[in-house]
Amino acid sequence: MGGYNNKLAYVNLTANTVSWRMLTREECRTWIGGSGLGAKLLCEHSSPGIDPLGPDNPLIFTTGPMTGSFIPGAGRHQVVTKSPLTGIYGEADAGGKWGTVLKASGYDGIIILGQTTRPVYLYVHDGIVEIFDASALWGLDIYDTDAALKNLHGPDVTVAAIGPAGEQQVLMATIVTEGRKAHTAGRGGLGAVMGSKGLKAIVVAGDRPVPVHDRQRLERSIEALAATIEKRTAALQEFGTAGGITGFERIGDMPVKNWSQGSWPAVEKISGQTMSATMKTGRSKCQSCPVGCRRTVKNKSRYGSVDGAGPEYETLGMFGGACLIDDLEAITQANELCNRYGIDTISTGAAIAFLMDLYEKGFVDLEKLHGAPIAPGHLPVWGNAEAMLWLIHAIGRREGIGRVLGQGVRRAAEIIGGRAHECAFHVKGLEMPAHDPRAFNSMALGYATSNRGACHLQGGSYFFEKAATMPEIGITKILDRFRTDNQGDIQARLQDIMCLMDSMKLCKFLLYGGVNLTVITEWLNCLTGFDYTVEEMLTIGERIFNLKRLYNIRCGIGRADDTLPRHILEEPRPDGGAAGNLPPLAAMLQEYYQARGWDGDGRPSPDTLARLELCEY
Amino acid sequence: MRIRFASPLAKRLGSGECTIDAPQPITVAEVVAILAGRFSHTEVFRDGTADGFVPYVWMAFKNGRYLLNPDDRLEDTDELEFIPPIMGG
Repeated sequence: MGGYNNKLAYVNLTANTVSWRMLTREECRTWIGGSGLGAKLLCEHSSPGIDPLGPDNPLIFTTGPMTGSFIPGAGRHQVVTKSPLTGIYGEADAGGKWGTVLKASGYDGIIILGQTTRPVYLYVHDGIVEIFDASALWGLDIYDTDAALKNLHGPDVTVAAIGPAGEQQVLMATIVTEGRKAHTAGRGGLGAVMGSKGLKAIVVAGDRPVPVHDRQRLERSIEALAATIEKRTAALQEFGTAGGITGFERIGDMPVKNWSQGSWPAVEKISGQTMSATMKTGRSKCQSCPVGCRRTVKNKSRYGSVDGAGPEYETLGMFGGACLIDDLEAITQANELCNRYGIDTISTGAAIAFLMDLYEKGFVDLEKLHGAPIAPGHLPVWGNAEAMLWLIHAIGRREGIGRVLGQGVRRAAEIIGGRAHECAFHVKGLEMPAHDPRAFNSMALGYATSNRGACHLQGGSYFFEKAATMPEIGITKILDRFRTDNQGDIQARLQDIMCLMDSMKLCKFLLYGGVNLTVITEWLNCLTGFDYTVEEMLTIGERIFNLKRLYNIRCGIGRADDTLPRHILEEPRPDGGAAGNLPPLAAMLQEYYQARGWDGDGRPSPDTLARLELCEY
Repeated sequence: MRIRFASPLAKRLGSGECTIDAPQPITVAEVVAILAGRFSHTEVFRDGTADGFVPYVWMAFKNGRYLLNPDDRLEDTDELEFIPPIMGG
């Protein structure tokens, strides 16, 4: 069987022990890897009632069969756990090469159990997992941690680490790989789980190649599509994800002034094109990627110096549009600070926009919240870059007002009370990313039903309303983004396909390059030697999605949680490319539940569970 | 028909808008073919339809609201705008 090492490592930090077990052929065939395997392992090793920051919450790092192979866009890994930010199923993924090297070390995944009172890090190499003391690393930021561990173990190792925010268990803390390259498992506060375990970093090294079942056939299949991928992703290559920001603003998708404004002409000042003209030094690629959507930048400004990863679209959308900050140097510095502290730029930007909104509306007593007077230059008024940077420090260090904001907008609104909840934009506790559901009706349904809370990538439906097709489920041309019919079945099937991609660990930007489910299935079969059909793949994706839903149901999630902030459902954008539109969520949700085979409260029916062989869960 | 080009496309084309005189209705792909001749000094529209309307250099946006497919038809009263591709996120 190609694509796998057939081996999982277990580290129990309470007992200070390491063990491993075989990954069975049946597990691979049924759950594939990555997200699917991670969800299965989470259910296997925990119950939904556990404290996310307690010793019973497993922290699971998985690769997919494609990770580390020469398949384009396959340099990714998954992290799965119970999210401390949302209290439900949590997962995030990252690119770069950490997953590739983990796999080259001899393991398909690592399951971290228990907690330790003294900080430790893991060194995984040549099939060996060692636990080392990390007391000297505790307190270092992401870049310095990376440098220190390379100094200890050599420049060729690859590091996944938490920063000070993860150590302090800030609920929007991230797990960052490769230091200043900052490939980040960003959403849901998974870095806080790592911090709760006392685990500072996982260092990986290895050179074991990924076994391939039919190399020649796989190479031919990739070659047949290579030129198309190259051509269709030219915009991503040239300007990165940030290159789309002026287009997103034009169609009314970008968050502006905490989702209250419809357009923002200043967007051009922070675009990928402006970044290219003023501070870009190059682009960086994940392992085996033909696209290279990431920017590297160098900038010295009154805010500080940056020499590393540039801000992505989401970062620009949240710190820029949502906070009305049109200063690219300031946002680049904000990105740098988030990378160093190890905090999610989406949730952090959302929390700052939330505070600016509260302050303008008079819904918050700042001095009470901070525990001290706030300097005039740090007052959270729209567009105040200095305030943004000061608040990032506060969140990253979990100090003063940052202690509240770092808990995410849902909890912060509860703490502040009054009408604060009106300014908190989240679904199931996860802050909304930089795409407005009023600009894509399908996004509303996707956010409402995503298993990790508001997420544009768990359904990815907007790919197919801009530039991608998926003929296997009937999408042969760009779909109308404002359509109100046939949303349920398409959303469900696309979520299933995204589960597959998250499980194989294939970058979703390949969809822009013309990769579809038939191609994906062919690549997976060539790699593994399995004989999946497209229909079987869709069923596997559906099984994975439903397993996560079952986990969430046991966490107390039901129909009432499958919703959006009231403002998004009832207040249209006043102007711009999505002016006047409100997504008809209730009708779409009903159609969706039927398409999923769920009952009226969003529970999979017994027939659905039986068909998907999920009765034991 | 009036056609607009959003920045930064406008900078690449050297113009923020143009008009075309063509029989109506007309498809987006047919408009692109006309623009490829009009702006032959740049590559912007040159192979826009060669591979099934691949929106990798621009996207077609109608009346400030609708993202379009190549076979979508336009009336003379429609305003067509070409905006930068939106592939990020």
